[in-house]
Amino acid sequence: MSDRSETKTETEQAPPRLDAEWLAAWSVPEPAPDLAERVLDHVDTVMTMMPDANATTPIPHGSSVALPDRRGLGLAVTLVAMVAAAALVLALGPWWRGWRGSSGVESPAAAVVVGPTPAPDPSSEPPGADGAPLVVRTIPRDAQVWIDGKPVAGPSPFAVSRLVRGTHRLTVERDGYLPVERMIEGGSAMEIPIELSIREVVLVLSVDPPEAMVTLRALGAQQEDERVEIGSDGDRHVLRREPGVRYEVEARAPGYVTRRVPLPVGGQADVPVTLSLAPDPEDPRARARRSRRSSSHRSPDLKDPFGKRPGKRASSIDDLFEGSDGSADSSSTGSSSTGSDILDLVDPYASGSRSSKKAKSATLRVGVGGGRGPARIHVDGKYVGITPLLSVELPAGRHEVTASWPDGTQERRAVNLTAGGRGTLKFE
Amino acid sequence: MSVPASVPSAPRDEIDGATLAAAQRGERWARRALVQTYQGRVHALAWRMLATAGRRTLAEDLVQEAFVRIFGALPRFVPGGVARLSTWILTLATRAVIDELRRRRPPMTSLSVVEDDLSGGERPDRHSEQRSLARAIARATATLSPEIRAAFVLRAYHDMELREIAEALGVGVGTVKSRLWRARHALQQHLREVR
Repeated sequence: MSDRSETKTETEQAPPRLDAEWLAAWSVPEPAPDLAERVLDHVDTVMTMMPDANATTPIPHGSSVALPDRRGLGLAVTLVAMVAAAALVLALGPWWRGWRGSSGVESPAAAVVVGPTPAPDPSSEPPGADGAPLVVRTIPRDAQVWIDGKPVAGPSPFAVSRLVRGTHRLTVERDGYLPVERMIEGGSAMEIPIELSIREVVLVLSVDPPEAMVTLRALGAQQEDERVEIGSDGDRHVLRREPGVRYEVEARAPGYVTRRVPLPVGGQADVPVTLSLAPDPEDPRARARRSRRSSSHRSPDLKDPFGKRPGKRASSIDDLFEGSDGSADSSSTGSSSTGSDILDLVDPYASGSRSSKKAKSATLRVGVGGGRGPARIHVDGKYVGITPLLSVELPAGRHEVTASWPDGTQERRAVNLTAGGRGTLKFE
Repeated sequence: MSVPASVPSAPRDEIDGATLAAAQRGERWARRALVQTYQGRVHALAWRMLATAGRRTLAEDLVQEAFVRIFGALPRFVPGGVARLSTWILTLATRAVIDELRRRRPPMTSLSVVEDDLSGGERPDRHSEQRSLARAIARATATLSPEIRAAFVLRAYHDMELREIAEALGVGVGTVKSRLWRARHALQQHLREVR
């Protein structure tokens, strides 16, 4: 793409205006509390292993603007890579000569390169030769790599070792993560990427119907299955996973078909568990429930969260870019907090068809008026997002809402939420 | 000016000159202060530029990578120059993320995983319109090239001037403008899907 064509495109049509609050919807989670210490440790490790990094990183800058030059940085990385590769060869030489006559992995440390240094190219080694290089790249970094029960010195990435022909057991461990064990075949160059999974996760339950009870089943390879009830809709359960154990969640409710699914665990700490049960056609309670629903109101379509609010749809894309004062929609149900310290919400659903479980919570919208810009919102000391917040579900009762702006100002409001209520809190 | 409005989501504070000088000398207390002051902005930059699921861990890895570069070049930073330290740090961080994005293709993930990642682990408004907007922005950003992503994120979320973005990316101001236009166009398309 050339600069000229890009500029021409820009001048052909006026670009649309983006709204700051609209952009603020894409909030970022807070980094881990120990990130700073890990950064410092990592920097120290890299600087220790590559003490010449400072001297060999020619990042020039102009006399007035201290911005590094990108080509200079690329050259620096190349130079650092060359220095590291030379160091690798020197370090591996004696060890390599002594190791060729051995029958397995004897030395705990072949050579380890940590940090941004590029991994060596496994394909550069003679194919099929004994002692072919192994590169283990892990996510996250700083995992300990073991081969046949012996540690490879230094953390990953990149843990580099050499393997003779035959089967070897590769183990990767890191605090807070499930260990990974694999059998690998030595004798040929390989790079193995391994992504570790967080060991302790929080299961966030979202179940329909809300009264359904969720059971967690642990299916161990050698031990008996374990079952434990972990709650119902809206509950959270902390699970410390064990290696070699499969987990399933099962939802059960009277009048519904029991459903069991494998636990969908990924890399994140919060694991949403969403289960929707189908009514049991053989159960008379299900038939009665269906007839009541059909005579009262249409149940919400979970696949289309906007379908039940046709009035909220934007008539055109331009509507979404209009308005920038951060105010929440004044047409929402409930009273405004303006002029009062405690916001009391009415209970429009008190006689409705909501379940008793849902009625224990309320929905709050939080906005900012007066052109003050987006604010970070904490409810009872817990960060919930940046305004505008359109649907914060909270337990019924009194809560303290704090709005913080980038200039350091803060405002606090107390709200008193009625079960099943829905309202708007606006910081003027 | 037809550029996206910025979101002042992070404080603009900088470390003082004495702390900077101590950090340039390698004193650990000062380096810790520097990391603590700027890690949030570097993390936010990496997190948004990755724009895919599983980025929580990768973003923190990139923060580490960025600070390795930052401390490697810090002795040659000139205080009092045109560039603020925060701008200089974001420049190095941007290049670290762009290098990572160029080096490997981000893993493909299902939409549900993207949604879970966007939840941030703490937010109770799981099915809100705001989350749909956030997902739309993330999806739109994921379709952009690393260079266009960088221009958009730096302008919209880090309040950098066009000239600063141009210097950070090694391109002209006109190119930055056109990249911003392309980013907005992609955002528009995905907003239509939301509504």
